[in-house]
Amino acid sequence: MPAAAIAALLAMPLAACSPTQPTRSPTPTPVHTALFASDAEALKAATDAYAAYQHVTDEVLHAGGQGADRYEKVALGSALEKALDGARQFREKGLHTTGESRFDSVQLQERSSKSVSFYVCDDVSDTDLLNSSGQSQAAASGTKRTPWQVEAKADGGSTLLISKRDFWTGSDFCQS
Amino acid sequence: MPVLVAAILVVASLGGVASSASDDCGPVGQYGGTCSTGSIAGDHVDVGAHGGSDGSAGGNGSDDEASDDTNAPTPPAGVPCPAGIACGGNAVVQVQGGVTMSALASFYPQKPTVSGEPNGWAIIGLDANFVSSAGRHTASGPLAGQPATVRFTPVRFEWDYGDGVHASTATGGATWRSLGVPEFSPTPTSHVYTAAGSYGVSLTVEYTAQYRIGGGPWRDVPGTLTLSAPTFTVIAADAKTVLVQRNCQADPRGPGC
Repeated sequence: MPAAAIAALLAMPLAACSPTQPTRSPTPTPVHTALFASDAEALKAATDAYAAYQHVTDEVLHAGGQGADRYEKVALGSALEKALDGARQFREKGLHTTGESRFDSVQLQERSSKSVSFYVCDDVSDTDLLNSSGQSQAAASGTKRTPWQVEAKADGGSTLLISKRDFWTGSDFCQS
Repeated sequence: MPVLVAAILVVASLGGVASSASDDCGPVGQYGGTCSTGSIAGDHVDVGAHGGSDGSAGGNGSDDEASDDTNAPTPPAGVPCPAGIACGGNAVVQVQGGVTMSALASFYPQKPTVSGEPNGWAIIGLDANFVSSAGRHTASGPLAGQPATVRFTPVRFEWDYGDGVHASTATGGATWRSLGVPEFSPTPTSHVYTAAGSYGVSLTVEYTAQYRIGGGPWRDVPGTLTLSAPTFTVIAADAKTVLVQRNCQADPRGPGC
């Protein structure tokens, strides 16, 4: 039997006899200095990143999904993939939007040395979804405010890019 | 066919609930106003929808495939769904202008029950086995002209055996017979009483829920809901093994009886 295996076997009963209550280690001090010094800074950067993302979304969707490569300047990862897929759907269905999207109620969820996660409410009240004939395709009483969970990551500098953007399907915190 | 879109629901607690995000609301749904939400409200799940105008051309943004709803039951508006019965007909429908409507439907899980074996009694020092009826199930009903379904999945069973002992199990248990073990064998949900008496066995079941509208994808409802089973009474008593000459029920005065 290899020595390592024997050592492992010997260690097992020792481990079993060790105190079951682990020693509580001191709570580690959060290290945020790598990206942002405060929640407020993180929130500001996240808000700016989301504003840039939404601005590009309006540009691309106004153009019926054309020029979707503009998303590469404001998004990466799964958020980029989904944005490109959404633009493709617009091209395939001959849809486009008019008006300007907005967002509000940005709430910080978590920040780390690499990313910032937050909740946000999108508001498309001032937009319309039109088909190629110019007919509105938006539901007459449709909900124009939608809840999202978003993550933004640093692009190497201090600017954030939207890396995840998922629809929140639970209780709608944008409708209170 | 009306188009489903999101409804006004209970405000979510943002902290600690981080499993409900998904990507079934693409830009077509978002700008078309057809993204929907669900929430837990006490002992049931609310799913909300607004029906859009059906006067527009097809492809108006719903991410869900419209399903044939001709077989969907039409409950009386405003009639409460009886507690303890799986139903989805608690819809309050408002017709607006003849072409649009909004609806909020409540979906109740089946109320869990507890049974025991031996039925209603236990032998001191031996395992009494308790089994809950709670399992994964669905409740369905119409919502703004589309079939909506909520799926309830029990994830935790909290037992109070009535003698001060509590247990938490991931299973509702099973009968000795279905487990293929002899009677009075220990099971994940069995309990040994150490003193004679009458005990009330209480059970609460924690469920997670998902919902879907039409043929759309299942969507998680954040949080869990908890339902209690009616108290099950069990009498614990001593049992003695004695040698008797005949059946004591037939001849109570027989030797050994």
